[in-house]
Amino acid sequence: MPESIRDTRTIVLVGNPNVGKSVIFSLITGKYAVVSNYPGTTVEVTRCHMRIDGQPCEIIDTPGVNSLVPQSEDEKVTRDVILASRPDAIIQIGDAKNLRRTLFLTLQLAEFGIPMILNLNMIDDCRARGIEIDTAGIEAWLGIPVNTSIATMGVGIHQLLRLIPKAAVPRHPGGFDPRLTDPARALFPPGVPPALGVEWLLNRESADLGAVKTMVSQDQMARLQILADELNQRPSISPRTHFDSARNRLLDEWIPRLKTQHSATPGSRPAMLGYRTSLALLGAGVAAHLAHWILPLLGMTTPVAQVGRLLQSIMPATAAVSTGWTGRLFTATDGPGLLVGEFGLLHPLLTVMMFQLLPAFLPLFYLLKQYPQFALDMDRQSRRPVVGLGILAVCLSMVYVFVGVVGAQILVGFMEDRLFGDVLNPAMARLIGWIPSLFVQDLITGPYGLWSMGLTYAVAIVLPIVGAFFLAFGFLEDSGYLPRLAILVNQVFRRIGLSGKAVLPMVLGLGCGTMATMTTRILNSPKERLIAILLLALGIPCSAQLGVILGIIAGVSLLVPLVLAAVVAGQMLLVGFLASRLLPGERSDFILELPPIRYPVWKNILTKTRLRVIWFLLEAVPLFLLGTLILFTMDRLHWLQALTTAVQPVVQHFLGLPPDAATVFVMGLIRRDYGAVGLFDMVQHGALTANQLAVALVVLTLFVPCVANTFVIFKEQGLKRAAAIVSFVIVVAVLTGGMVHGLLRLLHITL
Amino acid sequence: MRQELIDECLERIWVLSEGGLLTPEALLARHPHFLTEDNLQELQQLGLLELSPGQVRLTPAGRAKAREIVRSHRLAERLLVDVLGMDDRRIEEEACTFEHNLTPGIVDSICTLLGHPRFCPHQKPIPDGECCRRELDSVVALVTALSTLHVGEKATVAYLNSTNYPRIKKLYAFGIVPGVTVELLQRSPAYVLKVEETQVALETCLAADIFVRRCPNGR
Repeated sequence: MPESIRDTRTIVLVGNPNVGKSVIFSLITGKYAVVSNYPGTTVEVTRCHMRIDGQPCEIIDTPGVNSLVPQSEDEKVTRDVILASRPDAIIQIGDAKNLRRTLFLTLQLAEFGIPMILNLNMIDDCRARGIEIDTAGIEAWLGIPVNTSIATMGVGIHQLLRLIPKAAVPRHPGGFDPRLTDPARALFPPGVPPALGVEWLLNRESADLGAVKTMVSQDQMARLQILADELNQRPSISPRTHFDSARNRLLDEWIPRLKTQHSATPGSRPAMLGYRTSLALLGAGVAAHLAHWILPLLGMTTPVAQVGRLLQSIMPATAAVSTGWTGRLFTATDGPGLLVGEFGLLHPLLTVMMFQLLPAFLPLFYLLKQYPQFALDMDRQSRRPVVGLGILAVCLSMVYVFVGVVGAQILVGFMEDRLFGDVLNPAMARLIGWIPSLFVQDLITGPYGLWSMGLTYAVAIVLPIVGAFFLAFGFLEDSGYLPRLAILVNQVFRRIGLSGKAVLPMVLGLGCGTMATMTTRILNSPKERLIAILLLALGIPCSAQLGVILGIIAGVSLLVPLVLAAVVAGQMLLVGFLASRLLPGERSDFILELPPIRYPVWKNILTKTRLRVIWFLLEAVPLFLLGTLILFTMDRLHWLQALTTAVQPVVQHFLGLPPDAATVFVMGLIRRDYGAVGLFDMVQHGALTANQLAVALVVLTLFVPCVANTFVIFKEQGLKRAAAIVSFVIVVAVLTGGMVHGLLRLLHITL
Repeated sequence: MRQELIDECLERIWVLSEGGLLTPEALLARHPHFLTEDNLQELQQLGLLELSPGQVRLTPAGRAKAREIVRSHRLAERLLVDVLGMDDRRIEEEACTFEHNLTPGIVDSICTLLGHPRFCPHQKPIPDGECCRRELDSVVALVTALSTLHVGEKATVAYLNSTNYPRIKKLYAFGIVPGVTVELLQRSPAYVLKVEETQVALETCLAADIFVRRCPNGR
């Protein structure tokens, strides 16, 4: 073995969910791991090679676990990483204020006999609650170094790094019945802790030994099975609960010695505004936001529209001030007017921000920052049934205005019409004009051109929407609000075979289905994962698609989106309900940790948004270009026409759409939002009636997931299931579209 | 034969028969000290046992008697573990001395006091009594289902009333273990508990498994 590999020390980070493993991983390695304020963010291991004190090390970040007797897929991952990589050291990250849960895991880790360090994170939060922890006492009890840190502020990380060489094999306090552990010790290979080994053996639900299987022979495996049967029949000791009881007995004895609780002294910050005043301002801000929905219903103009008109009237004045080409480019009302022109960026953005978002946001941020009491109140209210739904509705409305209006209308309008339409596309056309070949010109700027279609769609239409969504989602997740949704939706999700926990991948699916499909790993049973992946593929439109759909329906009768929402939601409930009945397996019980509500860390949100956007660009833009290239080729070879002609009867007769719509669906096969953009074009040219639009939107929303998502489904569920899911989704989409068309025609309804 | 010995024999036969069909040979092999051929014959003469080649069965009278003994024994175990907080490895003998000295009325009172538990600390079923069937609550229950707590009330987890191991493990993993103090924060649409310094949301079927001991000044 080459020296460099042998000398590499492997260090694994392990800990309960949501204790800051990923933050500490990033701080140690300088490599970014996705960090959020809710459990289950890390579903895969992240590895990083680096040097500590000149020593080459591999640091491994693992998904959070509550116990090393795994209950879900990501918990298995962590267990198997420890077994398979045989690390030189384990750094356990724990939440200082939850000492019992932390030490419960420490006791399990101690059974591996691997050198350990215990790092108690969020020690500030712990002190703020008046809890004092005797770290020297833990060191003396277990014989391992104990460090404290405040990871979000980078406090205590250097000390942790310095402790790494001092990691020590924990002294296991024991307490297990030798009648259970001794026979197992003889059968398990070295490196497998006998107590945990017995528990894995008896863990009926996830009856697999994971990495242990690769370490034992078939003969040994058979003997282990016999041992399991024997242990199950022991009359006087219950092996399934014995080990947990023994660990808990130890904790009962030690926790009171290690943890003292003083009366908490909440730090009082000087506040400029009183609590009630700030609350009143927040209420007024929310009312102003909601007025945007209510006033038009009463036949009144909204402040946004009024001020928009006012601003428009003073625009020529500002335009006159700036002269020269900058003036023409940025402010001219008759020229491109990138910023303050009639369709520029600045003035609609300013009015929307000033009247719909900031009046609510500013008091909200102020309250979260200045008043710990507000976070506690929000925490209590947001999980209550009725008030919680109200808060949810306001949140969704805000996200809609931010993503649907600021992102999909203003930013997209700016990028598409101003930047690309007025500036970049003409420049590109002139540049391309120099190339003598008509074929190359067509390839780049033709109707299916790489620039004019692929890049324009990806960068001008999809990127602003996805970016805005990731920003809003980042805010929601960092503030700790998202898991509270799980409580509210649990009752409904039960009926479709999911637990409330599935709300996290579902909401994420509104951003990107591919990412969401990967996140389904936090769900506890295989059946739930399958249902969640199926529903994500079927009905959850990703932000790109959603944005384009929002753009389309903004201009048509309110009935179209209502029909669309009702049909899609109904279809998802129906499919979920049937799937929960027909698929084998069990739904798992819903249990979830709720992180505290807090003032979000802006740096986290921005970094996360930036990384997600980069990830999206790297993943989606090549696919957009590839898709365009395929379309271009098919168009050149007249296959596009052939395929379109092939599906035309279905499109024309079964769905009652104009023949051109076939192209939209063929494009939708490559990316759903791609198809949506095509539809957007058709609507802009007035090629569809409202009825036809509703049918087309229903089919397109339910239609196949994009290439990337299909690929991830294949990775998660295997080829057979991926193929089954995709064909099922296509059939359901077309049948539902046909039914909507038939019903509308039968009942003579015109939307 | 002494009454205590008869009780002991009946109890062993009941426990062994929980595992399935019993043969006289298996019976004699398991407890050679007091389940002797003579003792079994005597039980048959008392009309408590039916011995036939290849099968041992308790008569209805024997079943009723054995059921009562097993019930007192396992309830005694619960009492020792949940209320007196004894180590579950030491309770076996203590419970044995209890079972012979409890009248049915007292057994029912203990059962009610503990909230009609269905399983002993070793996860063996506790035969139900008259009190469980009528759900008597005339004795103020010390140990009670989590669902009976008021919102905002604190209580100590007494035991998890379930044999669904994955479920028990899951609750354990979130720190919901016997001996820990929890505060009920919310009941609907899902239960929210404060365990140590963390909030845990769980649905009704999980919450139904949690039995707690009310704190004297819980509010």
